Amino acid sequence: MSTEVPESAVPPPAEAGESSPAPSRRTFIATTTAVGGAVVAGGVIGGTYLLDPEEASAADASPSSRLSLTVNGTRRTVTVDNRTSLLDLLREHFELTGAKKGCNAGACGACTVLVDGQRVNSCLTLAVRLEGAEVTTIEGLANGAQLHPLQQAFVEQDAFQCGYCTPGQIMSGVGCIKEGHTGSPEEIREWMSGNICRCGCYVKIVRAVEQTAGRK
Amino acid sequence: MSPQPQAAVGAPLSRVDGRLKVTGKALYAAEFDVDGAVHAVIVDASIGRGRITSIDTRDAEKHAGVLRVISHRNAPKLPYRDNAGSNNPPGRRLRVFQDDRVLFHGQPVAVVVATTLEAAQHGASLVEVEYDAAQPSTDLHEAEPGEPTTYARGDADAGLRDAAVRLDLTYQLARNHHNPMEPHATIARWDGNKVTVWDKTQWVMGTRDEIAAVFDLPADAVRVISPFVGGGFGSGLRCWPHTIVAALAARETKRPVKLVLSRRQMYFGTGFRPSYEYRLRLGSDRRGRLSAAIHGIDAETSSYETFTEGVMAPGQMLYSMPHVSQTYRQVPLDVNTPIWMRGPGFASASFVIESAMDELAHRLGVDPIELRRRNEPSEDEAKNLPFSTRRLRECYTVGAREFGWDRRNPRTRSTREGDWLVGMGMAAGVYDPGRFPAQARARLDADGTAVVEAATTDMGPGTYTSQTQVAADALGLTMRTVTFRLGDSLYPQTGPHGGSSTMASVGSAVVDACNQVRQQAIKLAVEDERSPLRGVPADEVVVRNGRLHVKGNPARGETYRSLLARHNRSHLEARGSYTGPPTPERDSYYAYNATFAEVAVDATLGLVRVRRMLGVYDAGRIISPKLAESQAIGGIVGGIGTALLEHTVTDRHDGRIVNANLADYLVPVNADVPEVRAIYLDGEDNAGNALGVKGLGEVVQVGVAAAIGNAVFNATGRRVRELPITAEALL
Amino acid sequence: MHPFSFTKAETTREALNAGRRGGRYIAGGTTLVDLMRETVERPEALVDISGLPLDEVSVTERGGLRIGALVTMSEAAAHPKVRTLYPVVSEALELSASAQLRNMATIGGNIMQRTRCTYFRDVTADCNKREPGSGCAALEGFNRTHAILGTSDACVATHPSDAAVAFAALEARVHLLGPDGERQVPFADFLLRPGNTPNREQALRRGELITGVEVPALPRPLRSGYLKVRDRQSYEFALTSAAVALHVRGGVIREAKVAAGGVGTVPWKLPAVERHLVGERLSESLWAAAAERAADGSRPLRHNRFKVELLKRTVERQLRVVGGSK
Repeated sequence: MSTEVPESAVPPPAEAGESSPAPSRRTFIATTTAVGGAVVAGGVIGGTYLLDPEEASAADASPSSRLSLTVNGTRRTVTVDNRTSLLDLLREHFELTGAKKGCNAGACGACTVLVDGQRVNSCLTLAVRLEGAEVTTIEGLANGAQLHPLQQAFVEQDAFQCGYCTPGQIMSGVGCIKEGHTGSPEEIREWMSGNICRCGCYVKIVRAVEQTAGRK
Repeated sequence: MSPQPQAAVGAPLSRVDGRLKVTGKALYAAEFDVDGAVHAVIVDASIGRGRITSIDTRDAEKHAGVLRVISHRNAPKLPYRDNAGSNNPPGRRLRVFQDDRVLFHGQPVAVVVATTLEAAQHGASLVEVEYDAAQPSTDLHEAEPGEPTTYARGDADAGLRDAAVRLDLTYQLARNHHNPMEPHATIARWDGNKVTVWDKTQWVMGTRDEIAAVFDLPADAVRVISPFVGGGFGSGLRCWPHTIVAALAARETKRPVKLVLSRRQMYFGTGFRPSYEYRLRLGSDRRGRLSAAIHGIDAETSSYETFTEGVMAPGQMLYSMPHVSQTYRQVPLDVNTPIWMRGPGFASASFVIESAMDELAHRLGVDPIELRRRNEPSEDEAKNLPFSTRRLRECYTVGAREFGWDRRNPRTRSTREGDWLVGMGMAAGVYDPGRFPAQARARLDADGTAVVEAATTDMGPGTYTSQTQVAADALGLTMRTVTFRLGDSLYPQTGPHGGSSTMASVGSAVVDACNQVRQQAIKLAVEDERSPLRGVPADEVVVRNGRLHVKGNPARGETYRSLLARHNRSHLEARGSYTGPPTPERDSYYAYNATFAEVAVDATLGLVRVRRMLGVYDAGRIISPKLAESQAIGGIVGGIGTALLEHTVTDRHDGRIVNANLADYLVPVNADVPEVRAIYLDGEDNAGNALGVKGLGEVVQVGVAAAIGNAVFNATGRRVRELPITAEALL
Repeated sequence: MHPFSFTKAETTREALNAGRRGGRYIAGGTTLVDLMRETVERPEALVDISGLPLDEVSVTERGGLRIGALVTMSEAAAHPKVRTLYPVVSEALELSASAQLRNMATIGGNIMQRTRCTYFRDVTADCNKREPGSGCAALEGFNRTHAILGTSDACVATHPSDAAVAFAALEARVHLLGPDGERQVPFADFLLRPGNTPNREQALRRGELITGVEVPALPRPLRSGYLKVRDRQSYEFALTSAAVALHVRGGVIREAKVAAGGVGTVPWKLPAVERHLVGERLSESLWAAAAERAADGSRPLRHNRFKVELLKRTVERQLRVVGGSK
C-alpha cells in the first residue's frame, strides 16, 4: 500500500538511505525447501531462503519503504509496498494514468516514461529503487496548455487511433529524438520498435517523430 | 444526404479527442478513480479439462490486505437468465464459480479481492487448487465436428468434374488473438440493487444486458460506462466472464472492485479468431472462367458455445460461377469461445480464395488481376440481387497503376537484390458491413452549442470525431460547437461498435436527430414574424456556422442563439433513429478492396519482410478521410501480422496457451512496417443508408494476408498454404 | 509477487555482506522483476547494487576491453571503444530487446538473463530448471524456440542473451567478486549446460557479484559482426544468431572466433567452424564448408528441426558478411 504524505508534513530525511528498511528487521535462515516448492538457483545467489519461523507471522504483511522522488517536477514522498512498480505507483497511487499497462512485462512499451531523462519501461521498474529519481510522464510533457511538439505532431499526423499506446509512444519518441536516433525513417522504425501499436499507426508515428526531430 | 452544406464531412480533420489522448488524460476503463475501490485478481485453471477437487485459500486469506477469496465453494448461485439478442453464441455460456467443472485451461476458478493490487496478485498466487484432470481436446484435426451449415447452387460436383482445370488445395489458418493494447478491465460498484460498471467494451448496451441477465436485474439497474476503449478489434463485442466476476466480487465484498486482466489472461479470458482448416476445390476453363467451387471449412469453437462467423459469404459472391457448394463445420474443443476479429470470417476465407485465385492464375499463365476481371459477376449470384455499388474493377485499375503492378515479373523467383528475392502479389477483399438499429439524441442549447449522444463506443476508429462531423453539418454548426458523447448505457441505444456498422447505423441516427433539431429551429424561425426568415419555405433555409439563412442568400437570416433567445427556449432537442437495412434486402451491400504487397524474402534464411503495401477501397462515402486513412493502414498492419507472425499456440497435453504474452505472440512492430498507402475511391453508396457510407474498419484487413502470401510466391516460387508464413516454410 | 525486503548497497562491501546473508542482487531488474511477477523468482531480500562503482568501460593493459557489470546495454553498445574495437558486441547489444529495456538492463544482468522457455516462465508447468525433478514440459510440448545444442533430457531451454553470444565468441572472461575475494572465470565455464541440474545456470559461488566482463585483446585488424535471425524485424529473441570475428592477414584467416545464439542451452561456441577457417584463404566456398560444422551434435526437437539448417545458413551468411568475400 502506498500512502502519499504531503510534502510539508514530511520531516526532512534524517540521514541518507533512510528510505530503506533496516535489513536487520528480518532474520534469514538458509534452506533449500523454498516457498511454494520452487527452488531457484539463477541469479547471483545459489538458493532461496525462508524467514525464520518465529517471524513467519510477519510474512503476511509485505515490507514497505519510504521514498522521495520527483514526478513531473513535483517532489513526492510516499511509503510504498516494496513490490509496487513505478507504473502502479503512478497509476494506482498518484492518479497519473497516462502511463499505460499493456503487458506488465516489458514487451509492449505502453508504460514508457523518462527516469532521469532516459526512456524506460515503468512496469519493470520497482518504485522502491527510485529514491531521488526524476520521473517524467506524459502528464508532465506539455508546457501548460502548450503541447510538446511531439504531442502536437501526433495529433497532426493522426499517429494514433485508440490512444492506449500513445503516451508510451510519445515518451519513447521523446527519448528517441534526444538519443539522436532519427537519422532516417529506417532508424526511427528500429528505435521505436519497443512500442507496440496494435491499431497499426507506425507509418504515422514515424512521420510524427521525423517532423519533431526535424524541427529541433 | 442532406440539403445542408457539407463543411466538416469529408474534411481531413484531426481527432477531436486527440488532445486528451496525447496528454494522457483520456480515461480508459481501469482508470476511473472510484472511491474506495479494491482490487480483484482472477485465479485461472491450470488444467485443460476436468474438475476442481479442492481449493485451499488459507494462505491467501492470511496475506495482509486480502479481503475475500471467492470460488464455486462460496459463491452465490447466479440466475444466468437467458439473454436473447446478445452476442452470446448458441450454447450454454460459461457460468463463473457455479460448479467444479473446468472446461478449458485458464478458466476462472477463483477471485482474490484485496485492498491493494500487490496483495490481490500475491493472494491469487497463494490459492492452491487441486484438480481431477482429464485430457483436453484442443486439436482441430482430431476432434469430431458438429452439424455442418451448408450452401449449394448448381451442381458443384459435376461442375468440378467437367472443368478443364482443377485445383484441390487445403489451407491451415492459425488462431489469432486481438491483443488490443488495453487489457480488458472492469470496475464495478453497487449502490443497493443497482450496479455501475466501468468496462472495456465495444457495446455498453450488450454488457448492460448481460449483467442484468446474469444477476437477474432489470436493465435499468445496470449502468455501463466506457468512454475510451484502448483497441478492441472485436474482443469487446461480448461481455466476458471477468466482467461478471468483478460485479460479483463487488457485491460480495460490498466494495467497488477493480479487475484488470493480465496480458496472459487476455488469451483465454476473451475470445480469438478461430483456427481453420479450409479445403477449396476450384474448377475453371482454360481461360480461367470459374465454373465450380467446393468449400470444406472446419473451424474451432468451444465445447459449450457454437461460434460462427461470415466465412461462407465470399465463396458465394466474390466471383461469378454457376456451381458452388459449401460445408462449414464447427469443431468443439476444450478451449474458450472464439469471437469476431477484424474482418471476421471474410479475412479467413479471403486468404484461401485469393491464394487459390493466384494459384489458378499462375497455372494458367494469366495475370492475377486479369483472372479476377474475367470472373467479375454482374450481380450477387447468391442473393440474386443487384449490387448496391461494386467497384472492384476500379480498385484493380487504380491499385495496379499506383502500385506499379506492370513492374511485376510473372515469372517466380526472377527478381533478386543481393540476398533478397523480391516479389509482388495482390488480392481482392470483400466485407459485409453491419447495419444495426440505433438511436441518438441531439440537443441544441441557447448558447448555440450542441450536444449529441448515443450509447456507442470508440475503440479507435474515431467515432467521437466522425460523429461530430456528421452532427456538425446536419446542425449547421462548426466542429468546435458540437460535442458528441458516447460510451454510456444511459444514452440512446445502439448496436455493437463492430462489423463496420457504426457510421452507417449510429451516424444515420445522429443525422436524423440533428436534422430534426435543425428543422425545429427552421420552423420556429419561418413561423416567427420577428424573424428575418419569416415566411420562407422551410426547405429553402440552410444553417451554416450556427446561422440560419435563405439558401443562396446568406444575408437574410439569423443565428440559433438569437432565435432561441427570442423564444426564450433553453434548448431544442430531438431523438433520432435508424431502423436498420430494409427487409427484405433490395440490393447486395458489400465493401471491397484490392490490396497489393511487395515483399522481400531472404533467399537462404527464409525471412519475409514486407516492403510496400497499398490498399484501394470501395467503401462508400468517406466521412473523415484522415482517420479513415489511419484505419486502413492499421488494417494492413493487422493483416501483416496474420500473414507472417500471429499464431496462438496451444500445448495439446494440457490445453495451455504457450505464447500468451506479447514477447512470444508476435504482432508487427514499427520496424516490420515500411511504406503503407491507402486510397479510397471517391463516391458514395446511397442504397445502403442516408449517409452513403459502407463502413471500412473490417474490409481493410480482408485480403491482406493473401496479397502477402501471393507476393511470397512471386518472389520465391514457394506456395505456403499455412498461416503464418514463417522461415521454416521457406528454408 | 512475493513480499521481499529491500536494501540499497552503497558500497561493494555492503552488497557482499547482504549477498552473503542471502540477499538477491538487482541491477537493471528487467528479467528479475518480470520473473518475480510471474512468481518464478521469489527472493526474500533484494539488494540494489545499481549504485556501486561498476559502470566503467576501459581498455585493459593487454589491449582488451573491460565492461563494468553495471554499464547499461545502451551505454555499452554506444561506447566508442566497444563500437570500434568490437562491433560484434555493439551490434549484439543493439539487436537485443528494445531501446527502453537496453536503457535499464546491465551487462552483468544480461549474461545472467534467464531463459524465455514458456514452461519455465509458467509456474503451473513442469520445469526441471524451476523445480528440479518436476520434468520438462518443453521436451514433448511446443519447442519451436528451444535449443538443439547442449540440451539434456532434463532441459532444452535456450539462453536468450545476444551479448553473451558475442562474449562467448570472443572468449571473454567474467570478473567476479565474492566473500573470498576476486576471481575470473572464462565465459565458456561461466554459463552451465543443463545436464541433470538445469537449475544451476552459472558458475557463481554464494554471494558472488559480477563486477565486469573482459574481452581479451585480439590481433588486429579484426573484423566482427553479429547477425540475428528472427520472425519479427525487431524486439524479439533470436531464432538463430551468429557472432563472428575474423583476423585476416595476407588473404589468410589467422584467427576466427565464432559462436551461435538461439540454438544452445548456453551461448554456443563453434570450435569446429573456427578450426575449419583458421589458416584458410578467403574464398567463396570456404564459408559454406565451415558453416557445415555449425550444427554438429545437434539434437532437434519436434518443432525446432528447422533450426539445424537455419543455423548453418546463419553462420555461413555471417561468415561471408564479416569475411567480406563475395
